[in-house]
Amino acid sequence: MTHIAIIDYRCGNLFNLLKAFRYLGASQCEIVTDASRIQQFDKLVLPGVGSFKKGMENLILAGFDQAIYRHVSDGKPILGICAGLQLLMSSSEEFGHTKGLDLVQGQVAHLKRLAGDARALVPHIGWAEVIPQGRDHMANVDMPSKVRLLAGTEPHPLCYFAHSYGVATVPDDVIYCKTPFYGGEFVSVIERRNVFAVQFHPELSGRAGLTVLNNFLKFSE
Amino acid sequence: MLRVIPRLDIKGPNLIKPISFEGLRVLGAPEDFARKYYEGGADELLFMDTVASLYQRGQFIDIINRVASEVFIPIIVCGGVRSLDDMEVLLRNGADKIGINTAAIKDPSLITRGAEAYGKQCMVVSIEAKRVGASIWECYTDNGREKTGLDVAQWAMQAESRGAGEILVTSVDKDGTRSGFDVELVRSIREAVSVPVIASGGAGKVADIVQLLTDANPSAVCVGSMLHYGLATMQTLKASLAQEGVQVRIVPQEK
Repeated sequence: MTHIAIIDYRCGNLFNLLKAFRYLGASQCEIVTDASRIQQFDKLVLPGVGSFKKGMENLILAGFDQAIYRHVSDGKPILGICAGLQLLMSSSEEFGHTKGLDLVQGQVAHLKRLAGDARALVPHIGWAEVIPQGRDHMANVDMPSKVRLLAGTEPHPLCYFAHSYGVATVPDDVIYCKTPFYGGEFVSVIERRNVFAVQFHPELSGRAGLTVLNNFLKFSE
Repeated sequence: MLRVIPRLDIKGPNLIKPISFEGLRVLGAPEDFARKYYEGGADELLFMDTVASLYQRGQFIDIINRVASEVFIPIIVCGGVRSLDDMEVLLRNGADKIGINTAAIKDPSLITRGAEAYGKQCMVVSIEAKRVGASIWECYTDNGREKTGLDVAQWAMQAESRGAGEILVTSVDKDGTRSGFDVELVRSIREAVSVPVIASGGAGKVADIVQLLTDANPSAVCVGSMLHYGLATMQTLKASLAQEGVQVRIVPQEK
């Protein structure tokens, strides 16, 4: 049985994420506040809402940053959700410039800027399409990549978002999805080897979201 | 993409439906309605504790907890939230967003403190609006019983600046009447803020929603009686909206 830790660094409500994993049969899933326990787990989930700066501070204060680095370098999977996706990036423009975990290179920017439309309502709250991008490196063909987290969902599944910041671009070697937002777009799924992240809330995205969580649950290299 | 949110008013163990916040009918077990709406393609669910008494709170929280264990869309919970501790209890039992009205008007810093603790997207300021003149609406509290003297557009702006992630506006005059939304009210809030607006009160037929979208363009609409009384199902409602050219999420039905 896979042991899953949902990292609790005092940034938001984790209970419905736990409920969703339990519903999917992940009985060995728990909310973890003690970073020294992280190495006992096979998979990590880094959820979160709210401020990037506070998120990073809390992660570092609890020692979760080092625990995450160790987990990832051991080749074990991690799933960032919402603010958790953003914390995996290099930095955020929130409060000028705040450094992130830098597991994926890229910047986090305010959605007003990514929207390219002054009328954009922020926070972005609601359902939007998740669209695989780019080139399938595995098959070496010019077509959207096979996104492991989306296996078994409808094409361009609708998922539920609730956020004020987003990621504009990611490096070429990353498999990713984008989501249109007014005149612009933002990155909504990131996959690189054992690092997974989604900007939407899979635990609140109906059947599509449960499929995404189940894919992470079942993933093994 | 328009969000369609079934609104479930709860009293004791029951789903009820008041008309203009008074006189009510008992409709049945809220869990059954919630499950049916989730499976039919509801985008979120809104639960309103109409009693919000300490005596019956446990029963209400149990309902939320049971629904959250089998429904995987956002759950907004309103009614009786007076403190961060109240929010914490609801979030631990399955709420994703907290709606506050009376307590926020008494102490607007509660919005800010909630947003700091749980994020803006968690804080929904709920406004019960009663028309008091041509293009003037007043905020009410305690389920449409108490006047506050506050102008709704002014209060909506203040709520946004205090950290509200969404504004839920319910027309006290229209709620439960199925006679159409107070379109002008929704438009005035929509123009006052730049966070998403959820419109509630008055949905009776698909045309009411289409007209509201055309003239006021909220991000989401609440639907109550229309669904509870079986005048429409989530599936037929979404299909009709799509037919009218409204962008909605259609959930493929399991065979």
